[in-house]
Amino acid sequence: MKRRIVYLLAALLVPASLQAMTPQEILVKVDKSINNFKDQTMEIELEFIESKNAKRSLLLTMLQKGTEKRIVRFRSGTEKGQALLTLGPNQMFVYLPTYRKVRRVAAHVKNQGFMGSDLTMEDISTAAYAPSYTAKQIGETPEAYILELYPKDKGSTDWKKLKVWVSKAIFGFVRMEYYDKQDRHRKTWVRKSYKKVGNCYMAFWSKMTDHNRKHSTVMKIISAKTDSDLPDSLFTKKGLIRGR
Amino acid sequence: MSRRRFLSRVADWIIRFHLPIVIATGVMIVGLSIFAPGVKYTENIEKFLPEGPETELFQKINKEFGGLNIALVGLTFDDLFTHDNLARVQGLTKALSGIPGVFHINSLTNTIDLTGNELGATVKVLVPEIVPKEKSALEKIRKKALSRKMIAGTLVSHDGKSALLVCVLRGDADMKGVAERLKAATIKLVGSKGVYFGGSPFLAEYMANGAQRDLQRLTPFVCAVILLIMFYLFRRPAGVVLSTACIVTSISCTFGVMNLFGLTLNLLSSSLPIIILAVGSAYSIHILTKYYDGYDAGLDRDGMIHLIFDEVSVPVLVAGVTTMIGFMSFYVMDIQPMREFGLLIGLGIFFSMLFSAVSIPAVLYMLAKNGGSQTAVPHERRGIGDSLLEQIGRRKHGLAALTVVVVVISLYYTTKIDVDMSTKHLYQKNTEPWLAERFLGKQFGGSIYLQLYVSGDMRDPIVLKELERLNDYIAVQDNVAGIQSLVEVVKILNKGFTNSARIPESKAKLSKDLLTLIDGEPWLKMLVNRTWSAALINIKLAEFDSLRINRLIARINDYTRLRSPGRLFAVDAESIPQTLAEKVREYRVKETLERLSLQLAAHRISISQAYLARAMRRARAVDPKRFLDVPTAKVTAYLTGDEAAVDLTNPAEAKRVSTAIIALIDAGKKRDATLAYLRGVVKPEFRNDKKNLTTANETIWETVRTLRRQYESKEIAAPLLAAIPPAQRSHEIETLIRTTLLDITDANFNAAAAPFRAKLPTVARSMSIRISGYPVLYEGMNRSVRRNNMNSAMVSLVLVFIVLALLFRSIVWGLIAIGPTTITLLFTFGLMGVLKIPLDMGSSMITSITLGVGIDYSIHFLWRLRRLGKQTSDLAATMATTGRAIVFNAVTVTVGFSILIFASIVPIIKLGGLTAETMFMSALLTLVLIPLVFHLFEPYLLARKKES
Repeated sequence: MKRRIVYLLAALLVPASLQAMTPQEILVKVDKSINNFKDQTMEIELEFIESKNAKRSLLLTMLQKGTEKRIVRFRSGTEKGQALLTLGPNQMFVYLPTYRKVRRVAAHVKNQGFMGSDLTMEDISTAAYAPSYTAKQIGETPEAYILELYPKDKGSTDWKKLKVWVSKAIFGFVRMEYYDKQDRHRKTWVRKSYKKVGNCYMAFWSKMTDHNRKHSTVMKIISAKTDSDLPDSLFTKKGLIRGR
Repeated sequence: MSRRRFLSRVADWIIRFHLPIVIATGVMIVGLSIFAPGVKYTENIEKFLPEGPETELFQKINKEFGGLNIALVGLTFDDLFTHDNLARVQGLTKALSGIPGVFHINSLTNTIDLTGNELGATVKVLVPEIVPKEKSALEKIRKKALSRKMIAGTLVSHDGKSALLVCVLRGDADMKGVAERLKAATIKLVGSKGVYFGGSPFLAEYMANGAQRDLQRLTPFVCAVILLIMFYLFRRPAGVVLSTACIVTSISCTFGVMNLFGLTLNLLSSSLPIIILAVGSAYSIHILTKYYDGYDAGLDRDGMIHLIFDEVSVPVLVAGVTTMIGFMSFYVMDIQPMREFGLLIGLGIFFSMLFSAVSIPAVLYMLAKNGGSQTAVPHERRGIGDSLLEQIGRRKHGLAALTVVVVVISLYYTTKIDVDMSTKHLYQKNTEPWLAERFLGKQFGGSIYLQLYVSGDMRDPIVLKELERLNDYIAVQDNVAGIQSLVEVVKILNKGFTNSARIPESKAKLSKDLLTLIDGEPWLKMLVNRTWSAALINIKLAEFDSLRINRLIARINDYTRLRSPGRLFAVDAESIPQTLAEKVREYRVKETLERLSLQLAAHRISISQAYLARAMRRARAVDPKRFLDVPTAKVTAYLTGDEAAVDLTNPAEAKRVSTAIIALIDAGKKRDATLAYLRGVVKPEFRNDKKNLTTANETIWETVRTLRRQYESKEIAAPLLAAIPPAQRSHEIETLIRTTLLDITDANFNAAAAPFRAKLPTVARSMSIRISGYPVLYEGMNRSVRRNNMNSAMVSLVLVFIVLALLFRSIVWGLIAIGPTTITLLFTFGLMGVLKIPLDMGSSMITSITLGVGIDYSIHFLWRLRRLGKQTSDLAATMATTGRAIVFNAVTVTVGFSILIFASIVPIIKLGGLTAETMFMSALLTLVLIPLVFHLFEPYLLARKKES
């Protein structure tokens, strides 16, 4: 109850100019809120949950520069030593340490589960939503705007739409629902524990559930920092091999 | 109290309480029947599986691999590779994927394209999300699809005109329900023209719905015919109505009880009404016949009821009990639905017996007037029986000889009963499953899969290599149309990193990197379990032919027995003692050549073993140093490329550096030496970067070793390739030979078949193979049904014989009573042998029907004879009364059931035809054999009877 009152007060205190924002403006603001950094470094724990007794976790480091360049390095499990480099929506590379080789991964693979998780490459690589989606507001609660996001390029994604709840307080997604081309609700991504790191907000706990596979993945951010002037040379094939 | 007195008291009781009995019957019927419509139909094949290792393995596979129920949706086009048709397949794939109960769908539009080459991607989809419209792009897709071993002939026909959607159902899914939804969604999206539905789920759906349709369509005709015949025979509407009502209410009450106990209908129990009709109709007919005999004899109401109880109540009761024994003996079976089925039929018979023996007399008493003028049994009725008896008496020796001949011939043909487990016996030509089977056989090589459950560490190259060898062995066996296994996936993935389609030598490469790339992919769950401790090999069979399948199973069993009886023996090539080096080389060459000949045989190429061996001897002379230049070029390319772990101080000197390092390797120097050299030539910032220096050093060593092995195998392959007829020579064959020959120099191998294994430093690995899949299950199921059926029939015969011997107080009479039934059974089995009707779950019902009905006829006949058995005319009188009731019952049910031969579902046709035959033969043999026995042994039997 107390929490509700706080949210209500927060909503009342929001300036009138914000209340009048268009859905697309809200989305732009979200992008700004969650991507307001030059680069970021995060230690992440992924927990794969198939059933109550079948859990597996994976530690990884994620380096990101801008919204396009990203490196994911696996720190534990059988994947330890493997790394992924993303240079844009259609450029991904994988490094396998035992082969000591880098191979390009087809762009289509971004629509498949990432290392057996419920998060796809697309989920991980989509940092900016406003350029890729058209927003439409379908509702509002005291705490959040409810938007539907429609892909501008229908061929670039498996989803017909995303239904998102945007926190009015921090302009971060608190819940995302994924609908397939037949308009069936297939996945849900709940994001919680937002903390401000540098100039942006990060959800330190999130859970993606694939309703079809009856499988979910929890993503916990263990540590995060922004704007450490990561060099461009890190985000190259050589950087992928050498920077372990 | 004497039995007659007791029966008289019961009759008095019925007369006294006839109204409460009628009311109580009505209440019971209404009370139970209102639940009857709520009985649901479910199809769960797992429930039909006999308890045993085959079922346990099936359930284990279902649990670990998501299900063995594979529904196949086939689509035909003039050309699949057009924008519209690919979009259609894509839309259908997505729509079907979302249907509850579907675990995974694999089709051309969502399958991953595992391509492996030095530059290409590792995993991607073949058809883009937005299907291209440009001809060139579509042609590219066609070319790719038809060139992929895992796609062409599996998801796309080789002529590029048909597509197949492989729908894997969840292990716990309602197979029929999901099949119905898949079918409805497919027809809604793409229509029904050129669409085929194959595989076990669709067959189960076709059978269940077809059986229901057939029963709905034909039951009115069966009922009408039965009513007409009964009316013709009785000529009394009340009798017809009561007899029909007795059966209908027995069935509805049974269904009501089913619903109350939460039992559901299945393919087997949907035949319940027919069986109850067949075996339960006799009781009311005997009661009514006796009643009308009394009426014709001019008895009053009380007299008619007393006549019923005095003359037919005991045989009706005993007949009912013996039939119930026959069906309730199913309870000893190890198949749950069969146990349920036996109990339910028993319950139906109980209701029929109760209504016939108690309710019908009460209703008759309530409705009836006193009897008509006292007349003898009509002359014409006696005439038929008399003339039959006369013929039997006159030709008794001929008939006895004929019976013996029939028994002998039946016995002979009983041994010829078809044991084919094929599903093709379940449907007729030109029906939906027949067309689907023909389409799938023609375009995709078949639709039936055999599964091999292989347990072992699937991340271990030694285990995977043995699996690969097994795949190669199976691929060339008769009736094998294709194989899907983890091996093919691993080989293609490895090709993406090494340009060589083979199992990686190193466990780290396999388990740490390659397999984690695909870990968690939904399609992978069909090939390997979550913990990588077991794999499934799916063997597509060209034909569901029992003999060919059993032969294949035997060959696989032989192979596994000889090859890897539960254990593998891994040997590290570097640890082999020098004294055994030559022997080991010979062993590895032999092993490799064996596998190579299997692989070539799969391409219809045969090279003699002697020639292969000669080629191998030549290969021993190959000097690795002859291939110096190529590694130098590759190492140079690595050191200057964008995958180099270190940068050289002077990149222009890369060739010189490469040559120097290779020279060190050839000089027998260790890795430390090349590492030290490398440290001296890299940029200063890398000199203390141990990780990257080691990476570069290891990469160089591996490059040199790999290239030299490749060139060595190329050298050996050349004479082998020369032996292949030019028309069969191709780049693919050359690559295959070269790749296989690399096995000889792999870093490790399996010494399981080496005679000198004990002298080698081996590490044991476990690996075992078990065979499963629907052909094995059907065989197990039918074998169990046959075994159970025979056991229950024998148990029933013995129990029934005891009951009859007690009833007639004579072992001889007991034997006579079961004689006609035993011969009917033999004749029916013989007929099945002649007509090639397999003894399966459906036809096994006939045994129980024969036992149920045949014994009833004998009981009634013998009971009547026993009651009259004081004069020589006893047989004639029995024939005229009880014989008439037997004929009534037999004619009614025989003609009624004959209509079922017009059904579309083969099991219904079989059930109808065989039931009709059984009823006819049971009646005929009762009416002929029992009098024949009496004619042959009359003085002895009747004398004994009179004494007793």
